[in-house]
Order: sequence, then C-alpha cells, then structure tokens
Amino acid sequence: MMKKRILRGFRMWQRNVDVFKSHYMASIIGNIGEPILYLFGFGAGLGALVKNAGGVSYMEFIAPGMMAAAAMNAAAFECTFGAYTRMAEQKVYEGILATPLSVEDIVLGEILWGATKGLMSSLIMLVILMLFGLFDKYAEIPLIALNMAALGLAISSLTMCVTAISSSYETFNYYFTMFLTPMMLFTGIYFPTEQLPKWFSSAFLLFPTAHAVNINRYLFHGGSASMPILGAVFMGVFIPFGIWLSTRMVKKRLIPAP
Amino acid sequence: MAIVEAKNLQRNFGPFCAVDGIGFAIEEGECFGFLGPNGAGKSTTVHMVQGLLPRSGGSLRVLGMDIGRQADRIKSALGVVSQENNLDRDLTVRQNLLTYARYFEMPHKEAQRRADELLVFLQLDAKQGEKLSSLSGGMQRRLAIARALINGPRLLLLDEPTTGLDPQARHLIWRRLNLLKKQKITTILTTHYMEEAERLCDRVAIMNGGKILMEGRPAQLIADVIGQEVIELHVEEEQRQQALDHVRELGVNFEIHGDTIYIYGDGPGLVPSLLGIGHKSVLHRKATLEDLFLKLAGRTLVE
Repeated sequence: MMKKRILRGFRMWQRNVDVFKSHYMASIIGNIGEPILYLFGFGAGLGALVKNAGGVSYMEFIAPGMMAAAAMNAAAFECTFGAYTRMAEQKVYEGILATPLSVEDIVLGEILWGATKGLMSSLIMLVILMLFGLFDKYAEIPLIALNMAALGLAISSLTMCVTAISSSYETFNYYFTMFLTPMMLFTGIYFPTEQLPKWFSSAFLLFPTAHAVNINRYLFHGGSASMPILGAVFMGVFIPFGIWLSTRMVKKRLIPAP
Repeated sequence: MAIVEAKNLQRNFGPFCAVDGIGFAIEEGECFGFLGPNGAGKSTTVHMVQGLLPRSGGSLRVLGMDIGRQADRIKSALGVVSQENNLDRDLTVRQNLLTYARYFEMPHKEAQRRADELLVFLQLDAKQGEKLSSLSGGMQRRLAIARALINGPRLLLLDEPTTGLDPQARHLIWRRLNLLKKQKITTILTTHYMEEAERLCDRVAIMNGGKILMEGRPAQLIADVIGQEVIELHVEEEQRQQALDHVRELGVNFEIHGDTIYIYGDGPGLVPSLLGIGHKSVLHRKATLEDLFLKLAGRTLVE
C-alpha cells in the first residue's frame, strides 16, 4: 500500500520534472542570479556596518540562513503558484484523477516536487557560497542537503494547506505576509534571534524554518547541539502531519463530501 | 453481467439533490446515453461512475466492483473524456499521451506504440510535437479522446464530447466514435444534443431534475411517445387561438413551444386535415428524440 502510494506520487513528481525540463534554463538563471544579488547586497552593503556577528563575519553568519531561505522560497513558490495553477486553473488534477492516481498520490507528488525545487535552489546557493569562500565543510554536505530537503517537505506541505483553501492568486498575499515574510525575518536568517524578546523568538519555533536555520548553522559553524536535535525531532513530527493535513484539505476541496 | 449497475443512486450537494435515486444497468459492448438539459444530473452521474464523487446513497457497481471500495482497480480500466478541458497544457500533444500512460504504469515502449496508433486514429499525428495552445477546440477534444483510450479501457465515459464544437469538428468526432462503437467498447455518453444520442446510442436514459424520466432504445421511445411523424406549424400571434382550437378539434397529440405548434402522429393523413389552419409556414418531418425530450421535459424546463 505504502509502496504503491510512493510510486504513484512519484508519477506526479515525474510529470512536474518533465515540464520543468522544458524551461529549466530560465529557472536556473533566476536561481543563480538572486543569491548573488542578496549576498552582495547584504554581505557587502550591510556587512560593512556589522563587524562581528557571533564570532564570524556577517557574510559567514548569513550563509547558512540564506540556504534555508532559498529552499523555503522555492518550495513555497512552487506549491502556491505552481500547484494552484495545476489544480484550479488548468484542472490537471481532475484529469489525473481519472487514472489510478488518487488525491493522496497527487498531493504527495506535489510536496515531493516542491521539496525538490527547494533542494535545488539551496544547493545552487551552496555552490555560490563556496565560490565566495563562505563554505568549505564538504563532509557536511549530505547532512545539509538532508536538512534542506526536510525543510522543503515541511514548507511544501504547509503551503499545500494554504493552496487547498485559496480562491485566487491574490489569496497568497495573506500567506506571504503572515507566514513567509515573518519566517524570513525572525528565524535567525539575517540576525541572531537573541536580539528579539524571548517569547517572540520562541513562538517562531513553531515554524519549520527556524529549526532548519538552527540545524544549518550548526552544520556550518558548530556550537551546541541541543537546538539542532530539537529541530530534527520537530521535522520528524511536522512533515508527516503536514502531508496528512494538506492531503485532507485538498481532498475536501476537490471531492465534495456527500 | 452488467458493466455498470446503479440502484437507487443518489447524490446531494448540501440541500440540493443533483441525482435523485436513479437506477440503470449497462451491458457489455453497449453505448448508453444520458440525455438532458444542463443541470439534469448527467455529469454528476458520470462523476460517480468514474469514482470522482462519492455517492450519497444507493449502490453503484462498475465492472463488477464497488466504486467506493476498489476505485483504483476500476479506474485502471476506465477511459474518461471530461466535459471541461483538463488536458495538460504544460505538455505537448504527444507528451500528454505518454505522461497519461505512465499514470497507468504502462511500459514506455507500449505507451509509444499506443500513442502512435491513437495519434493517427484521431488525425493528430501532424500536431504531435506541438503545445496545446496551437490546437483548435476540435483537435483538443480529439486529443482528450485519444488520452482516454491510451490504457485500452473496458469502459469509456464521454461527458458531452462535442459541446461547443463547430459542425465540422462535431462530425469528425462522431465518425471516430462510430468506429469505436464497432469495436464494441462499452460507452457511456452524456449529451444535450438529441441528434448525437440518436446517432451513437443503443439505449438512452432521458434525465431531468436528477431523475430518469424514461429509458429505452431511441427509435422505440420516439415511436411509443411521439409517433412516426411531426408537423411543425409556425403561426402568427393573431392566428394562434384559432389554430389551437382547430388542432384541439382534430383530437391529435400536440405540444406548443413559443410560436410553434408541434403535432405528433403516425399516418400521412395529418397534413390535409391541417390545411384549414392559417399559418406562416409548415414543416412535415420525421419524429426525433428532440421531440420526445421536449414533450417529456419541455414544460418543466427551468432556464
């Protein structure tokens, strides 16, 4: 049963890969261009003002968080605009539901694909960080990639819940303003969360990005392992729950109960 | 054994009852039509047969299995052409077929071979590398039919396959569907074109307001309810009352829709007896399913 589900989810994933292959250049160029702009803007511009960020240069400080931000944004973009277009505008899901695939398979495939896009974006970011001399712990690459894939799965499943109840592209503004931008600002990507009131930064531990940033920073710079371990446990619970909930919500939208 | 068998099948959407306790049995190799206006419950019925919508009540067996329990096994033997265009617009014509074949776990070589055959059969081989945006409405509908046939289905569901197409495109699709009919693929067709149902269907069920009003062979139904012939009498407003009085005196079976009086009958004796009625024009023709439908549903039809 489980094997069948994963195989069928993989078929949906393959469909998205095929489409991606026909326009991957545009996507990759965007993926390379953006990190360079961010690194230059924040690193060279803002970094000149910030002399010391927890014992490392500012560029070094933001490097692990920038990877997480890249994974988060790519996964969220794919599972909002991409998935919504397929579901509501193009009725691709409806076409696929006439085959042996079920809503469960489709949602799993979409989440796997969102995570794949997230992983790709973060790995491109990693290559650029290497070129800037901001990363040299090659032995940690498999764990970093695993962390980014997990973040991709977590964000994709959270995002699919939003897409399931969206009535138009405009609805995504709520999601971006209320979830993504706060996660971008307050999960330790650009500055240590110790700068914030304790209750405020603790609240963000309910969101996967905070944990992915903690884990990545640990893999980049070392330090205490307690927060990264909490993060791994969090991901282990959040991802299955997110997949379950988003599947339920998409099902409710596509297949009205009798 | 019936390929599809429904008993007291029901589907509600909140307080609205879209399908209201219908029953039917479709035999192997048969083309069965659901006829009716928009909102009659045809598409809802098809959506239940394909396992897209769970039923609210009654029983529904497809290919001998319960659609609620064995949906994926049933769906692997179905071909569906939806009313709404849900082709994959991100893919080319050929990719649409190959990607679909993959959902059915068809080996790649076999999928290529089937795609080649179907592209020729539906006259799309010259377009196979193109994106869908360069295809006309008729071509897209043909591609939807090709896609529905990719898995070699035992049961084909066609939900308004020619709605919105120009006559030429419609005739091309009818010719293809007639060829499929010769291959004895069991087919369910919904339509609001009576001509389509008469050409393609072995049996039809006429639906309105979620119920089946009548079911049987098209020719037999027409003969039973309407008769062999129809006279359409177009009359001016001022002549209308007089015409009606005259028709009533004749004691024939008739209906009024707009400025037309439809008179039904069997013998050629109808025409002379009408000559005394003042009229704009008169049309004497063979009775069709449309007459039957208007007679059954016409007066209750809500726009």
